[in-house]
Amino acid sequence: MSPGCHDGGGGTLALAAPHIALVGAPNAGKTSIFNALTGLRGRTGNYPGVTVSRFVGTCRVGPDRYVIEDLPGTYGLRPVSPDEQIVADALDGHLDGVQRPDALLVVVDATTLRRSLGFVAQVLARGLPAGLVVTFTDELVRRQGALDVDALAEALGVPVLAVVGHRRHGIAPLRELLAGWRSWPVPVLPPPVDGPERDAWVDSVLGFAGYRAAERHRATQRIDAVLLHPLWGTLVFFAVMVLFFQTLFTLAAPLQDVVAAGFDRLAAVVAGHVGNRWLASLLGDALIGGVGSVLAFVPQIMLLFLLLALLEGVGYMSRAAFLMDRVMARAGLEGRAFVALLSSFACAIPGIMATRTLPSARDRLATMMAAPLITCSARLPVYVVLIGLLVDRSGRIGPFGAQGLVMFGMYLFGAVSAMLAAWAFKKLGDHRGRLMPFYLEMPPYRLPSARSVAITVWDSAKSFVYKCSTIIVATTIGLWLLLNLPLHSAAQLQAAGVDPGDRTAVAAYTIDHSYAAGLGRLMAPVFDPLGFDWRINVGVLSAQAARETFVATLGQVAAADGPGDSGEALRGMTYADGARAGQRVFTAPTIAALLVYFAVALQCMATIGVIRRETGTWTWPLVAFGYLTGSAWLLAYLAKTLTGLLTG
Amino acid sequence: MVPMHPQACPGDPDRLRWIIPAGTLSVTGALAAVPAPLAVLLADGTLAEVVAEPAAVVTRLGRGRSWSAEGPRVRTALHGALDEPTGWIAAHGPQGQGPGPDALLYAMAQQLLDGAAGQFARSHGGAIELLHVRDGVVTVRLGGACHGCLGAGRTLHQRLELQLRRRCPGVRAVVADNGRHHTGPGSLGA
Repeated sequence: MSPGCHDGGGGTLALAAPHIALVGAPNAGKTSIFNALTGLRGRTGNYPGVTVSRFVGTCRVGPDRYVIEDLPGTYGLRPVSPDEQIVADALDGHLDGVQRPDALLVVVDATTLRRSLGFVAQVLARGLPAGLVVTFTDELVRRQGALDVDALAEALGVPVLAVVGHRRHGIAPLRELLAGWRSWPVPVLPPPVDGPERDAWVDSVLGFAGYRAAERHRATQRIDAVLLHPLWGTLVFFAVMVLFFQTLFTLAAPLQDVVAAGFDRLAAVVAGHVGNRWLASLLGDALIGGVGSVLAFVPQIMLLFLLLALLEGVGYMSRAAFLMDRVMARAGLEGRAFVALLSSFACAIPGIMATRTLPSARDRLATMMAAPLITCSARLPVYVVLIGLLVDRSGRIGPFGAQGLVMFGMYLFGAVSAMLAAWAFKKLGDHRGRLMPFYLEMPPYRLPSARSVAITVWDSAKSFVYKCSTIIVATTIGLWLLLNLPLHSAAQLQAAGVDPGDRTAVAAYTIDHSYAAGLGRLMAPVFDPLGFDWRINVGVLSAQAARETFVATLGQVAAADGPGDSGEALRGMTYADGARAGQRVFTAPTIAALLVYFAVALQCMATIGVIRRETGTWTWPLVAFGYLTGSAWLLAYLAKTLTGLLTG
Repeated sequence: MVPMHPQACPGDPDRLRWIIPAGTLSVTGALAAVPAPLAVLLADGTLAEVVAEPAAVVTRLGRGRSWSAEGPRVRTALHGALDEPTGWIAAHGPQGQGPGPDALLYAMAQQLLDGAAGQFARSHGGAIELLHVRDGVVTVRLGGACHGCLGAGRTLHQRLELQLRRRCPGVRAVVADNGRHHTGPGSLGA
């Protein structure tokens, strides 16, 4: 980092701030210690040339400053994955632009101390001054384990401190310890790093420190006997998934209606009180009709994140990963990739970020290429609108609503195609099929903290509203301009046979001769085979920024057609020109093609940006965009043809 | 392979104390002979001295040697030597007659009191003095600030007794003798 961080505190000497690195296994509590030390004032970035992100912050103890670097979580220092390579290089000072740390804080989870000591041995063998931070000692004791921290320090020959990060217990002593890093004892003889001598060392150190491993949580053990059972566990898993989607669609619908009704009232107020035709159109059509129709999905989005946060907080997510490990193995991926893909149901971005937990670069890439196929929450509004057009609301198949089943089908389609994509990318790149070491932590079941669940839900709602208020508002206003320009004089209208006094006719004429229409018609050769008309083309183009914009665009188009139920307006929409002029646009084959197109195409600039950031190159986002958009078109064509054959 | 890890001997950088499970070796003190792998290192001057303790082996480096250079060799040699416990022969005393279990316990307790457990008491202004060990009962005298301290019993049991039990399964109890001098220190189980 920056050796130029100077101590400005009045002394005559300007000393560079000591550089302290945090190392440890993933989930050892490194990040909460980093946050506690730096007060969340960390900066993030990437290590040069690789996909691994970098966290650096400053910690002040009295007048002194310490640069704290949170190195990626690793189980070892053998360079078997990019993360471990980074950590190994960072400790040896071989990383360009990254200063070799002056001292290390090794963070180990007390409940997995035996496994962690192998890593501690590797770190101590590097010869840097090191202190050991033992986390989760509270949990160790609660689960009938034992550890004498002082004896551990004596056995290791380095300072050892117990810190319970999330309760900030032990943070003050840790800061004191940090201040004295220059006088930390260094082991006279570094421990052996492999073979039976290493095992003998680990046994001896654990024995000396009176270590007794944590017993597995009794309730957890009983629940896991069922939930991890090959048969019952799988059945429970599918039951949980069905419940997940049922809750999502049944519980959110009334809430959604409330929000939609609110926007309808607002639209009525605007229509009644805003005299200026242009302002009324901008507010009514673009903002309320367009953005409002997307904002109506806030309750559903919040519910989706609430359910995901609950599953994660209770500890079910890692069980699901364990169960899915076998299925994922078929695609050549490990269970943790499932966790990444499951987060993609909320949004591909956290899903892609979650691939950081995968030790193999190949798995990471395959998962990243597959994640955009999982049905993210942005597709939800689009699916709801399109399925509403395709299937009657009262239609039922057995005990289930037909709309809900089609929706479930879309989610299943997304999941299956993601698995296929992962499998294909894994196959393409990896010929050796080397299995990476895989540790999956099974946390004990616990009630999720209401606070962390609330934060997750609140954050998701906030960022959705933020997305609506920035990218979607901007695209919608841009689109509104394109739909309403150029202006036509009364003479032009009369020449075209339109009565300038008839507002609906003028609006229809304006839109049909707008720049947007021109753009949409320009795209006609591409999308004609899918049955899209220029309005859908414009919607698909605008959805390229963010999928929800499609709903906003259709909302605008419908609103411009006159007041009333926008669903009815869309259903009755006909082709304005071309060979199919006068025929209805939203026929079953077209809707099927649209659904499939939205299921597959990579229409999210944010996802492209994240893939670029995580892979460090433009190659992979371009590959993802190319293959997803290409297959989207082909599969949509297939869907249209098949639906056409089925419906006659 | 015998579980083993080295610990520094404070104030004596040439010595390393290799902690091993109590009872691995049946000899204590200076040694007349050690198994071949260690004997080689003594012969070539890598090591100057090897001493057996009830739950440790203390090695002293030869002149001009460093642990960073010789440590791994010493470790491997020690592992080899510990695999042949019969090759360790005490320098004094009748052959085949190891120390009794109480003597082992006494040495272990003394080592703990010299180390972390005693250090904890000293850091609080107290002192724990080892009086004697009989039939697995370790008797100590609490002095200094320990006297009348409510935490003294806790220290004794949580730190000393637990650590002792960990290393010597034969310990039956650790008791405090409140200052009556009916036995002298060092009077081992008779």
